[in-house]
Amino acid sequence: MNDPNVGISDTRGSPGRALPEQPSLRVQTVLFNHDARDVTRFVHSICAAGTVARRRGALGRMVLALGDSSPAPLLDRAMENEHRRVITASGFDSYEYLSFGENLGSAGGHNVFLGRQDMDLTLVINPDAYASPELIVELVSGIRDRDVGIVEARQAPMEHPKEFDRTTGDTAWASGACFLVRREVLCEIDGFDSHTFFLYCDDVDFSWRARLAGFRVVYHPPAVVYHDKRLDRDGQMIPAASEVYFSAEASLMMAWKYSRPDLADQWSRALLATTHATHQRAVFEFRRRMDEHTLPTPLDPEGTVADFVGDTYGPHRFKYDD
Amino acid sequence: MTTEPRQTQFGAGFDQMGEHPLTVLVRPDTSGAVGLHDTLLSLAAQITQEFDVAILAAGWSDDHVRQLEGIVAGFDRSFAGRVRVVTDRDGSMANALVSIGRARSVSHRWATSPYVTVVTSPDVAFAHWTSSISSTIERRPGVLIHSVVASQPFEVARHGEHLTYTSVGRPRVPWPTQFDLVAFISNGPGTEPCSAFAIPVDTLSTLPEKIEGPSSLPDDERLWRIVSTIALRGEVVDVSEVLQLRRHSQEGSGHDYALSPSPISGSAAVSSYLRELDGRGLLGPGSSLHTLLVDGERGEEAECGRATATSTTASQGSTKHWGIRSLAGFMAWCRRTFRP
Repeated sequence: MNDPNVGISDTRGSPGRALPEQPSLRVQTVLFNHDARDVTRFVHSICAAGTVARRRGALGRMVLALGDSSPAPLLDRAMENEHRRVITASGFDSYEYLSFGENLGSAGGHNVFLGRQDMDLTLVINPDAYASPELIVELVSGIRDRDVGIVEARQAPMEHPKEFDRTTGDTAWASGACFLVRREVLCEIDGFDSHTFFLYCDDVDFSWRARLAGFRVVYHPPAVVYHDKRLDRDGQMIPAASEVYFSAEASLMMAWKYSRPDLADQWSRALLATTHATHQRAVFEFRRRMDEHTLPTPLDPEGTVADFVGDTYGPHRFKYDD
Repeated sequence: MTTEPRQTQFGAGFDQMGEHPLTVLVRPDTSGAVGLHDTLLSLAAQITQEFDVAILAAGWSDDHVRQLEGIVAGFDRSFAGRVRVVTDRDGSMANALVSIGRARSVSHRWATSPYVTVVTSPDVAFAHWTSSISSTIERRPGVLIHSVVASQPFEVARHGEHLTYTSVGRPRVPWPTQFDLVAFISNGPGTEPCSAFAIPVDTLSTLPEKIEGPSSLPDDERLWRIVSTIALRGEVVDVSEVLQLRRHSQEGSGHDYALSPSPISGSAAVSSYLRELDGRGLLGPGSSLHTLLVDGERGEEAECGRATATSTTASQGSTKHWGIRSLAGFMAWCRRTFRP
C-alpha cells in the first residue's frame, strides 16, 4: 500500500519524504515510428525487470504506460492484447497504450503521464532501451535517500561520459534515456519543459530545475540499461537523424534559459559558421522565438546549478567526439 | 565435473537450441559471474535473437554456477532459454572450438549451430552484432567472417554483488576495419581479438592438430593459430561495422589485448606457428613462410623470396616456379593450393 503521508502539497520546497516500503511505480516510454518488434523486445525486458522487483518485494502497484507519438498507432489490438498478457503475467498491475494522434516529442509525450502525479515513482525510459533484470530494483534502492529526487541508470554499451561523484553518485543531470524520479519532484517542477525542448536537453533542464528545487540527482551504476547506440569505424558515436538539428536548437535554448545569453550568442555564431544548413535552421528558429518573445524566462542567474563546461552541461570524464 | 555439459533449463526457447545459425561462446574473465552482467545484457538486447549462448564456466564451484544461473534466469525467458552453462570444459575458448570441431557429427556437438563466435566478459556487443553476422552467413555461407572491434578504457568498481564498469576515455578502433591476412599472421597473437571473427564449424573439423598448437599454449595464441589457419585455407568476408566493444583497464590488466603487437612474445609465437606450416610442405627447401611474411617487404613490388621461389606442392609432387609479385598474390596461391 502507498504511504498516505506522501502528500503533494506539503512537499513543496522541501526534499522528498521517506518512501513507503513498497512504493508504487509507473514505467513510461514514448514511441515514435518504432518497429513493433523492437517495442515488444523492450516490453519483455521491462517485464523481466518487473518480475525481479515483484519477487524481491521492492514495489507496490506497478503500471506500464506506452505513449505513441506516431502519426498512426504502432500497435494493433492483437499486439496490445499480447503485451497486456505478458505484462500482467510478469506482475504488473496494469498496462496502458495511448496513441496521442500527433507528435508531441519526447518531453510532451512523457508529460501526458507525468502530469497525473499518481505514483510514488516514475521510470522514464527510451523505447530503444533494454532493461537489465535488476534495473528497477537497483534504481529504487538508489532513490531511498529522501533528498535524492532523480536516479539515473548506467547505459551500456556506450556509457554517458558525464562526471559523477564516485562515492555519493551525485551528478549534474540525469539522461532521459533511463531515470527514476520521485513524485515530489514532479509536483515541484511540473514535468518536462516541452514548450522549449522538443527532443534534446529536456532531461538536462528537468534535472537542473529539480536541483534548483533542492533535490539531488544521482548516478547509480549498478542499475544498467542497454541503450542501442552504435559506433562508426572511426570510433565516433553515430548520431540519430534528429540529433543534429534538435541538439543544436536545444543548446541555444539551454544557454538562454539558464541566463547565459552570451553563450547563446557565441554558439549561434559558431553554428552559423559551420555553414551546415541544419545548424543554421536551428539558429533561425531560436532567433524567431526571440523576436516573438516566446523564449523561456531565464532561471538560475547565479549559476547555482547551471554549469556550462565548454559545450557540455557539467563536467565530463571525456568526450565521444574528441 | 560432468562429462556432458551442464544443461540448465531456463524456460522457453531451450527446445529451440541448435536451430539457429550462430552459437556465441562466452568466456568469463577472472571476475567470474559478477563480471558477466553487462555481457549477457548486451546479448539479450540484440535486435535479432537467432543465436544460442554457451557460457564456459569450467572449474567453477557449484555456488558460482548457481550464482551464474541466477543471473541468467533473471532475463526474459525467450533469451534465458537459449543460454547454457558449460562446466565440463577447461574454460579455454580454443579447446571449446576444437571440441566442437572434433565432434564426429552434429548430434555429438554441444554447440550445434553452423557458426560459432566468441565474446569475453566484460566486453559487450552492439545491438546489431548477431544480426549482421547472421545476414552475412546467409549471404556467404561457409566463409570466415571478420568484423570490427572497438576498444574503450574502463575503471572497475564493486557495488554489492555487481561489478560496474565506468568508461574513462572515448572508444577507439585500434584494430583493422578490413581483415589483412598477412598482418594478422605476421603480427602474432594479441594483434586483434578473436571476437572479431565468426567461424564456420565445418572448418574447425579439418584443422590439423599441430596447427592448433598444444593445449599448453595460452588460449589467445591458440585462437590466433586457429583463425590464421582457417583464414589461410579459405575466404574471409569483412563485415565492416563496429560490432563489439572491448573493455580494457587503463592499468593494463591481464584481460587486455595488446593495442599494438608485442614484438617479443609475438615474434616467438609467429615463428613457431610458421615452422608448423613450413613442416607441412607449404614451400620448397630453402624457403620459409617466415621469410615471406615477417622479413619480407610488403607491397606490389616486394622482393619476398627474392623475386622467385620454388614451391613443391604435396598433392602434386611436382615442382613449379612462380614469381612473387606481392604477398597478396602469394596468399591467393596458398588458398588455391591448400584448400582442404
